[in-house]
Amino acid sequence: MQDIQEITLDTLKPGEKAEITKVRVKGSARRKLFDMGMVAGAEIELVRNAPLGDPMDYRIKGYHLSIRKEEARQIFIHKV
Amino acid sequence: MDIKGENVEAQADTRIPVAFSVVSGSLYVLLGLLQLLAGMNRIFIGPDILVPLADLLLVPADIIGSFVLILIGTVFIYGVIEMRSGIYEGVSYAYVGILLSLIFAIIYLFVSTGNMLEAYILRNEDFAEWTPLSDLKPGIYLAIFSLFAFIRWKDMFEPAKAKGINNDQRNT
Amino acid sequence: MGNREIKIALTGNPNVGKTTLFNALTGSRQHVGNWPGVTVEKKSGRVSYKGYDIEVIDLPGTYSLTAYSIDEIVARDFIIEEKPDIVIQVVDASNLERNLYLTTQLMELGSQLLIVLNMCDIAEDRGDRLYLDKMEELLATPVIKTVATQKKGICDLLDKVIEQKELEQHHGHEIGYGSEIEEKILEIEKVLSEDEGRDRRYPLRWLSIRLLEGDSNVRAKVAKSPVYENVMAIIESIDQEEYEAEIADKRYLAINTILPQMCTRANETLTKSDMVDRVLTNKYLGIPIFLALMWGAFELTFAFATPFMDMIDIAMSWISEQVSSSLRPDWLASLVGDGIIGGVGAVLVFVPNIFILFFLLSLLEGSGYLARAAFIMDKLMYKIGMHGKSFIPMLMGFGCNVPAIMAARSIEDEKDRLITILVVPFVSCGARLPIYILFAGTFFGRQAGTVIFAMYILGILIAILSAKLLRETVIKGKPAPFIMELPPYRVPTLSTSLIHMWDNGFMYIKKAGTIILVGVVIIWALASFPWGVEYGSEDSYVGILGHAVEPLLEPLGFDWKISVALIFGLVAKEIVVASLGVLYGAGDKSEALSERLMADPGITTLSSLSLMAFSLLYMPCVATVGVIRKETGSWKWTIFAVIYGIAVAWTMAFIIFQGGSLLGY
Ligand SMILES: Nc1nc2c(ncn2[C@@H]2O[C@H](COP(=O)(O)OP(=O)(O)O)[C@@H](O)[C@H]2O)c(=O)[nH]1
Ligand SMILES: [Mg+2]
Repeated sequence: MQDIQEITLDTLKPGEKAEITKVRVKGSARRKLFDMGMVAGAEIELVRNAPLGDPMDYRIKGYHLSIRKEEARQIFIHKV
Repeated sequence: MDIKGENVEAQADTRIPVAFSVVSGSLYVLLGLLQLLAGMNRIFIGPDILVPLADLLLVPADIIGSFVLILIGTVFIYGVIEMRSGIYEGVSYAYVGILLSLIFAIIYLFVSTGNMLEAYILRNEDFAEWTPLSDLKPGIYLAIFSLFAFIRWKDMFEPAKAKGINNDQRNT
Repeated sequence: MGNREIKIALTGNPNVGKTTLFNALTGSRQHVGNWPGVTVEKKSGRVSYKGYDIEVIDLPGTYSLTAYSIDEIVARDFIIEEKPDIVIQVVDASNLERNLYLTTQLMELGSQLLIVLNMCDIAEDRGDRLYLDKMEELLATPVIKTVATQKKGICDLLDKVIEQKELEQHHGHEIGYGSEIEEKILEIEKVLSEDEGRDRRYPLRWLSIRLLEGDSNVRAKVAKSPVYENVMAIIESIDQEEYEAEIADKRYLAINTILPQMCTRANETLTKSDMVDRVLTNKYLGIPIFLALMWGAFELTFAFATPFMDMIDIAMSWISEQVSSSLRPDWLASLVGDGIIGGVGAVLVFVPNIFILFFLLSLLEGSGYLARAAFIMDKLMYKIGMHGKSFIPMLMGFGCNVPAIMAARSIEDEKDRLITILVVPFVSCGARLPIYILFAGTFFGRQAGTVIFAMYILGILIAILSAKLLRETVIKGKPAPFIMELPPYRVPTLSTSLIHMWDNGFMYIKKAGTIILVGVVIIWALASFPWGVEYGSEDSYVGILGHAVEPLLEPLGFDWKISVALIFGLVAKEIVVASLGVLYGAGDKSEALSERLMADPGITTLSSLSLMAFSLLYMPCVATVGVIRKETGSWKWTIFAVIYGIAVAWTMAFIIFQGGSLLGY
């Protein structure tokens, strides 16, 4: 269990897929992420980084969602 | 191994976009460079041998415009490189290159319409010598090829769906 | 028999085609305004159909109905408090899963729901299969297919609306949240129901769920209730973050159980949208393409608009002349001719620019590229304490600050939006260019281009520094998190963009127009009285005012004439050059004005530089002030913006003039 919890969403490489295990983001962003489909068990894929490297373009629930690394660091995943 | 086999297939599929991109891309880059030189000449040295060639090809001395041309050319060439190395998605660059060249041609046509209004309706002195030909430039006439490609995209550039690309390959 | 009334509300996720559908339904019978108290656009319109008079309201697009943004609060308050007869959720048929999340929340609001499956063309082209009957059965809600861009399914939709209205019965499913949460919901419901004086429009179950999720807006709503303490006791006993996650989980779980029965999605292939994204957000090409497209937008805004601006200019001077020569008495002719028509004309000249800017903004939005622009620029913007979404409004500022400030509406976070509104005025708009051209051209000769460029850079630097400064002081905190959908690229429809352009452009004319009119009349009175003096001369009130503020502006190198011109510039920056023409007796000939400025010992190269910087930074124009007032909804921030701008302008000009003098220029 501990192992799985270690990996965070920002470590994903373009084209890799993973399953979300836990969202540790706090505050209003937490709600928003849930609303956008970032719930435990959802499958997520990193499509690409923005040209300057920061916001990331993920594919989740069949659409593209972009979030910053800052939030991605607080979302835990396990790779599939 | 399987995947490799499929890639060879995909490569065969991209022959038309590659050919189109090579031709269109080099034209855009070359005329862009010519326009860049023409633009810099007007600023730094004054007219010289390049000018007759530039005049013949209706290349204006417009540096920003030259960057746009070179950029569009680069998009095409970038796609050629990707497609040649077996990445089917490289065909995206051909598609977007076509779109970009059309978008800029439309922008130039609008600006030209504005100039026409200045010249013929407002009779602005600055536009006294303006003719429809004065605004015809590579950004406009090169887009004719793109227009053709855009119309024929479905039947010529897009490979058949069956051979198309599935999920595994978007990761490459 | 008179027409029967039906009130319907359109809701749904952003970019699902609500506005397109709204336009298809109502055509030109629509009205754009604001929701009371907030700067969220409210669009309403009417359709007459089969003897019914149907009022349609386009609610702001939302992913959910929490209190995350004002949009969400506006949407849900409307549904609960105004009780539309039928709530229509527009659903993107090509992306059902996330769209249905909102459906689960709409069901809890207890209103009559109708689902419109829009964008069926995209889903079906792709090879998806949608089972309408199954969907109606599983959701217990009528479902209609449409393609809003082709106006397909509009009549079916209207027929269904009428049919539903006649039925007058509510039914619908509710999501179960598991025994633990359900227990808590029941507990809260029970406590809440003890309050006899509660607002009965709000469903108890909905209130309870929202409270469990920690919705601050709902909490504020029950704060006055006598049972508030008891409710809070229950809420404090739970691990709220866990509940929040669990509730969202359960909603998606419910969707995932029914989704496979309602549709099958085709194998994913490389779509056009994916292809476009691959290039436009490419690591190396993304930024150059972005810059090129923005340059193209500006080419259109300026080059294409010029002839139209010239036409307005010619028309206005002609009218002004006609009026001046035919009106009696003289003062009236002067008020209408010099004052109103002159001043309003100076602002109307920018209408073509503003219309084109709004049109292009709408194309960017409808195509999906606006989101990419924020995506591409976010990292840079974040560094200066702003949000990626602030970039486009700031960029539009180079054209005209007014639409730029209006474009800041797309920023959800209040603080992010406020900062954007406050710094946009430092971005050098088109109207300031003539001032630079006159002074840089007169005093800097061959270096004029460099000086003008430096002014633009100065404006950008001040905007960046101000953003940082505001973040450190009055608007503390970090930019809001960047959690944004990158919608699929679509071909925007011409009519939607034209309607958007007209609505916003007209709003500019109307709102800015009234404020400009007042400003213009005040300036005219100052310039013309005491009656009999030459317009704007030393003896007029404005001349006296110019002399009065001269001591304040002297350290910047300005004499009374410049001061007068700057006061005129409060109305609109392009009046500065025109009024200098009057003050120097040069009429509107720029060469003559140039010569006289050169000959005036009161203006040196250095003071002209300080003047350009001052013109760049102080209050842009009354129209901008008016729109700041309207968009912030607060006089406090409006006055702050004006005073801050003048203070920054004064300081900058002081540094330039005194520093330059010290260095011996
Ligand atoms: N293919 C297709 N495109 C649509 C349809 N409805 C809307 N669009 C496009 O989707 C984009 C977003 O539409 P809009 O009405 O602005 O969405 P809103 O954000 O929900 O108001 C626009 O570019 C529309 O032209 C449809 O039924 N089919
Ligand atoms: Mg809309």
